Amino acid sequence: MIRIKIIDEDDIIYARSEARQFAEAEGFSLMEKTRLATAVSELARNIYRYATSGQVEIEAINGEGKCGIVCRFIDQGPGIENIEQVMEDGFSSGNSLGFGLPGAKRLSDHFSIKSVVGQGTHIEIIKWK
Amino acid sequence: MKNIPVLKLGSILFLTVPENMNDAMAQYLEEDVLQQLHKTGAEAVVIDISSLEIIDSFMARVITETVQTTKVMGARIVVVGMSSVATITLLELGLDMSDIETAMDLESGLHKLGYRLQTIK
Repeated sequence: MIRIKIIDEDDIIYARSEARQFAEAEGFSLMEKTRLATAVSELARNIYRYATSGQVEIEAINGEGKCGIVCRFIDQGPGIENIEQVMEDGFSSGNSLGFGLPGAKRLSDHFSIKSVVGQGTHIEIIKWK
Repeated sequence: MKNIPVLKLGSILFLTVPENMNDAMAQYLEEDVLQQLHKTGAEAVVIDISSLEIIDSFMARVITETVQTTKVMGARIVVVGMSSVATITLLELGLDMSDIETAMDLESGLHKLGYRLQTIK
């Protein structure tokens, strides 16, 4: 497992290229690698933009006879008040296009989010091979 | 921070978006294009994005804004070289770039702008 601190923009680029390399090592197709790297880019950028700092964990896993990559996005930022609302297409609380969360969910095979206002947000995505 | 090179050929400006572009470089991209347009009086711009392995919502916004500001300046613009996987991912993300003139490669991009390459006889 690798843990990447997200402090500045270059860390976003680093996180997505690491995710790509993990997927590469597991033999993911180009399409699946690209989906994963794009989702990681969106979610790592959310940390940078809304929580200022946080971390991304990337890990290769085995489950139900198949291999996959799990990525966790953890921050101690402001948290999300209304998760249902931010999961709707087109909603954004910041100065962005607002596709971050629903877009990343569509690109992943599994997506879960836990957030407590004032404490932070924890998002986990899984991409199976 | 290094600027992105902008090449001029006749009345066309060419530039290639680097693989890993951060916010600062993205801002330069827009500014560079506008400054060069102003300085050279070029009529058209070709942006090559073939080195981008992924296009996330940030990159999509940078490209879209550059295209829009170029149009406001009165120049035509075409985005060339978007990879097929990046295109599919972009649609899955929910991003709509259909307002942007695109072409598979440089040659068809030039063709869309009304130019054609010819060998000197």
